[in-house]
Amino acid sequence: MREKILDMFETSTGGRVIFSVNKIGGVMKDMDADMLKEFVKILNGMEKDLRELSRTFLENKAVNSRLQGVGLLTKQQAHDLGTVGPFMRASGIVRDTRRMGYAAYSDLEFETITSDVGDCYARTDVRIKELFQSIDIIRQAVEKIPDSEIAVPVKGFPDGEYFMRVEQPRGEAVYYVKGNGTKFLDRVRVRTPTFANLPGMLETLKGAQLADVPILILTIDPCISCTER
Amino acid sequence: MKLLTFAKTELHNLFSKPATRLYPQEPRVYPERTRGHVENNIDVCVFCGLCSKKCPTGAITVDRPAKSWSIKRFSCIQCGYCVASCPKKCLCMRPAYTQPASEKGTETFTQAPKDDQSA
Repeated sequence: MREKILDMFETSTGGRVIFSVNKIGGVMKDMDADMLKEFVKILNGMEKDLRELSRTFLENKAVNSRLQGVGLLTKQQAHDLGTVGPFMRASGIVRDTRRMGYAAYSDLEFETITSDVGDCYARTDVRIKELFQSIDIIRQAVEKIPDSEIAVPVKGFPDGEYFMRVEQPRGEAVYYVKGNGTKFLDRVRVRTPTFANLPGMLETLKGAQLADVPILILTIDPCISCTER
Repeated sequence: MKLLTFAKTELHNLFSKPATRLYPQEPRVYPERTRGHVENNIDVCVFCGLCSKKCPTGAITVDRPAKSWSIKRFSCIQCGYCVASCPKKCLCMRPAYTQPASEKGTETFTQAPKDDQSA
């Protein structure tokens, strides 16, 4: 099923994992209405299979016994340790950076998905619900997409600094750039969500059984290369 | 204990097509936008060297006096900067990926000298 998504990426941008389609001022490639309709059709077909698959994660007794009650993180702990993303939302904190309304999110309607129990099962539940919410967001976006140019010409060199928070699948990432008037940038800093979730993960590891350790590491959905930042 | 609990799935799997592609019997068809490799229409190229300057890995080498354009296929990361910056639009990105090889070679293309028609 992942191959269908990778094929969609390849058809629209040219690459399966590395898209190279963003540039300063917009994007490099356009998608016409036929391509978008095809994508929505593929997604609709996939949604049925996904619901069947997610039942394995949510209802299977063997999976439940590994996930429930493991890695509890209370709301206060999640707030103090600075967690982000589904890891934080499963502990009861209602915060989603997409609601700030950057890019096209101000035109799309969706709700923040949270859970009150802070264990691994709750995080799995939040992620699966967000999966279906993403498909819904894509359908809304395809309906509302306007027919205009894909990139704006940009002239000159960047000067000054800018700070932006975006919501990535693993959590909230922070981008900071500082330019000094030439074509080289002074400072670029990316704070990845995996890096922000590490203290929370260490807290859940306290007093855990050895067999639970892989599950607790995976519960923050780590991008291992991001832990170096 | 229920007997033959797996029978339904078993029969379904026996009589249905495999879920995977029958590669290499069935050739892989790539979408047209796939960034496979860079091709140069050497007859239109003016050897300005802009593609060589923009290339982040330094895979392209341009020799203006000798009218040759060479590319190291295994250094190219298929980013598309050269295609975007070519003034004559002779460079393009084709969908086929570079074939595996045992050594990293360079491909060179030379423009044939044009016939001088001056009287």
